[in-house]
Amino acid sequence: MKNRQPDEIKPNRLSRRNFIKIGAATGASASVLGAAALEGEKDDALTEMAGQATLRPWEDLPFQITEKCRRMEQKYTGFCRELWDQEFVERIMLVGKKVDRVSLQKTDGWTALDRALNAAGWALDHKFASGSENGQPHSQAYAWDEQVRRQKVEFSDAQDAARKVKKAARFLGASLVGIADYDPLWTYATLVKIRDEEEESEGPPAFDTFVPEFPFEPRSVVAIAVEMDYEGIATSPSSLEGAATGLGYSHMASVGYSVATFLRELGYRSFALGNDVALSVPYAIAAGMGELGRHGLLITPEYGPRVRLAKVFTELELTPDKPRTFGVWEFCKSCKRCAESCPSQAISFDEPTLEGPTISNNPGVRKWYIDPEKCLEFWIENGSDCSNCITACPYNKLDLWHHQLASTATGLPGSPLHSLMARLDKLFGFGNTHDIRANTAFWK
Amino acid sequence: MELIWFLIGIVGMGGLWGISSWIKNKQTKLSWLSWVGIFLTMVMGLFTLAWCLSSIWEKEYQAAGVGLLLFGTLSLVGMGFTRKSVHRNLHKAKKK
Ligand code: SF4
Ligand code: SF4
Repeated sequence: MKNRQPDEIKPNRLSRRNFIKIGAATGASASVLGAAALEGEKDDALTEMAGQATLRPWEDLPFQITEKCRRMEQKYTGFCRELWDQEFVERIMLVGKKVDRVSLQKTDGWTALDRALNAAGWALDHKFASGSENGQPHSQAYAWDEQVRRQKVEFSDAQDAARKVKKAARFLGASLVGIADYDPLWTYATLVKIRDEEEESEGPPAFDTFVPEFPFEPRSVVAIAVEMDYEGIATSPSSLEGAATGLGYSHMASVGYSVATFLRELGYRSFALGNDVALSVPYAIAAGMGELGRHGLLITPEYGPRVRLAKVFTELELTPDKPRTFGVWEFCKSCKRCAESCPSQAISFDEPTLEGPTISNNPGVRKWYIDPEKCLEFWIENGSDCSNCITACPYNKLDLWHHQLASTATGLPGSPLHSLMARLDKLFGFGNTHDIRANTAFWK
Repeated sequence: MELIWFLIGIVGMGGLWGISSWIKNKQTKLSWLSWVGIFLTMVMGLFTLAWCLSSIWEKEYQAAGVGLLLFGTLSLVGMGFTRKSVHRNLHKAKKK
């Protein structure tokens, strides 16, 4: 979830520059909005689809996917709709006009100190990886065609290779790492590329769509998670929380690029990706890093949803990890804390479905669909992104023994137990959002 | 965090030593119920302590306070029952 400064948003005009800023501000939730995946019964269609679009049998994945699930076009994601969906643009601009940014900037979490940290958090991403979110795929740290060493380093087998790549990824800064097979279903059917135009013009920037053609056939995907700062995220929704998110983005780019470089130095064509080009959450789930929550985010046993995801596509064959479940699906049925804390009511209180409420949702996967339009409207209103759903989630904890114990207990069956645990979490004072004390505590 | 575990280890060991020497002093045999009570109360007491210290360490003061109240009460209840059971054992031993 990317952040923008309050003074950067001009609600009455969407020029190329503004789009890039808004895109940067909103790119992050592509992983939230577009994320597909979930546990549930297996469908007959899965086996059928396995032959069509996947390299690995669906039975391995804890999702129910039906034949309605198709490769999504990037232009339907919330941010790209700002380029062409006039009705949507007018709606979010209207929200932006109502916001009193001057008084917002005087409150805790929005001071000059907070905004300076925000800018610093985003600095690396803006310098080296902003193309990922602003309609310039295949650029900067996320370019697809960097040089590869000619001589290949051989491994004894794919398992040995996977072990070493994972060790390297952790060394290079990944908080969590897993391996999945490449699956074209999670790559956007078409990508959006903004045209390079010298002159800044009124209205949204012109763009083209194109079918992604990689310089090689990816075989494996290294899924990477980087932890975001607990205290920073606790200040959501504020500019300070945006600093934690921004730093997560900067780390994504740095770790992703470093891991891709490591693989290229071994002689295998590889490239890193942020939120663009392909969905991250399904790969992370397939790589056994966690499960999907009601809020559409990956929930890991170690950090809950407080992670950012990057991935590296490589031609090196690596033994994939197995997906694992630790009770999130069942717990989410009783919890609903993210839905209660969402300021825009974008998160569903109901049962999982097979389709979402807007054209930005890709149908066909049984899960809780969020409403990306409502989410984005709140970001505009807020003048920055939002992490309320991360902050409020009971799985969002520091990696300490008592939280690990509680997280393990969520794997026990029984919705009364889950409801009790969700209530206790609130009673203990965890997961408060709009918490002024969190802003003050951050700087202590 | 390591310091917290060290502290809990010291308290745990101290508690065990205290109980065993007290029992030796009284020269009595405890029933299995009393032993279970002593064990559970000790575990609960140490859990309460560990919870509170860990919560303070992560600056979650409300969690520390509520944990002390909740788990501490459970420990006290357990302690009450255990005390009763141990006294009953002592009573029986005196009668003999
Ligand atoms: S809490 Fe709601 S508005 Fe905020 S990021 Fe999550 S879904 Fe969007
Ligand atoms: S807040 Fe509760 S319902 Fe929402 S994702 Fe987390 S565990 Fe699931």
